[in-house]
Amino acid sequence: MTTASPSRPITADLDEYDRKRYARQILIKGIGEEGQRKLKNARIFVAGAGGLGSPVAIYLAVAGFGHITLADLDVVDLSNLNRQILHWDKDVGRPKVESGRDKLMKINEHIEVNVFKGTIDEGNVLDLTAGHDLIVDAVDNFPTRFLLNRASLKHRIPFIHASVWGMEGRMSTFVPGRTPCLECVFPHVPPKEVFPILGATAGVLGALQVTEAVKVVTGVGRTLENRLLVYDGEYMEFHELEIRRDSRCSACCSLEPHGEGGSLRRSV
Amino acid sequence: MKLFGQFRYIAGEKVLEIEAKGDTAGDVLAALAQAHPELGRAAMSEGDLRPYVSMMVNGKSVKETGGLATRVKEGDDIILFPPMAGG
Repeated sequence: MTTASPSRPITADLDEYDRKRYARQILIKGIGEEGQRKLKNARIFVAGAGGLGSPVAIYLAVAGFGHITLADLDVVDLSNLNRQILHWDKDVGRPKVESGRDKLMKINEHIEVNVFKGTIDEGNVLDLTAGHDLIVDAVDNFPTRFLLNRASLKHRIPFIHASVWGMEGRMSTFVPGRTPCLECVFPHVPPKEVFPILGATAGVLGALQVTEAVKVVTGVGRTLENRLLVYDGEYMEFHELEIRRDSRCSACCSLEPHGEGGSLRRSV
Repeated sequence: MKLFGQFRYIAGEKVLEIEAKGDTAGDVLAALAQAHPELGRAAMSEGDLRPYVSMMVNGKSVKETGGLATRVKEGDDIILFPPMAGG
């Protein structure tokens, strides 16, 4: 893991620069200065720096999330550029996390960006995600999603899931002990495929994931807990489905219920 | 029945009207497989839903309501979801 340090030290409290930069979201009822301070002190693990990871990381950065970890194995390919807006023509062939870190530090040089270039596997997933307040799922395969889901359960931190296909997407916010987990809802790995995807679809879902992240961290509003949101861009429809814990789920069946109140592992 | 993702591509339609001979989710799927064999093969294997395919009736997964024995009636909102792994 390598770190890009901010242009000035990150203080726990907001300073005048923060108050001015984030003034328009501090105005949002339920966020305020206290919510902005929570964002500044939050540690977010973004798994994947591709279609979803690009808008997720960008919107986390501009929202003032103070500590972002970006993890990805791949290098940028020309065919990524229709959707992976962190990466440009000049980045083809570069590791995505390096390309992503450079853009994020240009977008907001007052945050800390950690990167991990490598495969998220059973041996490292718990260490990689340790110390974070939530995990954002921006990967393109279910085996890695299952590892991240298990890490979310182990660390008892929320897991904001999304997946995309063509002009469609699905998402939910899983909170260990209080909602189903990913494997309750999608217990089986689908066959691998080269999936069609419109960049704007990833943009919609990525922006929604960050909206959920802001809500989880600040406590504002009502998250997608126990609901699966289905986005149908072809007909511009949103559907909502009720999801429940599966008492036979091998990932979360032994988990004790989570108390009401803050979703975060620690107070930020 | 509402279709998403590759199922919509295969059927060429967003919504299919299915005339089932019985009143269970399994009867609906059997009628679907007969009317649209390619879609049936994509969604089912050996008479059951493929494990990574989800069927929802009125917003709830049939997995929670009795599987393919789940009762359905005319006008129920039925959704067939293919897997979606992209990110």
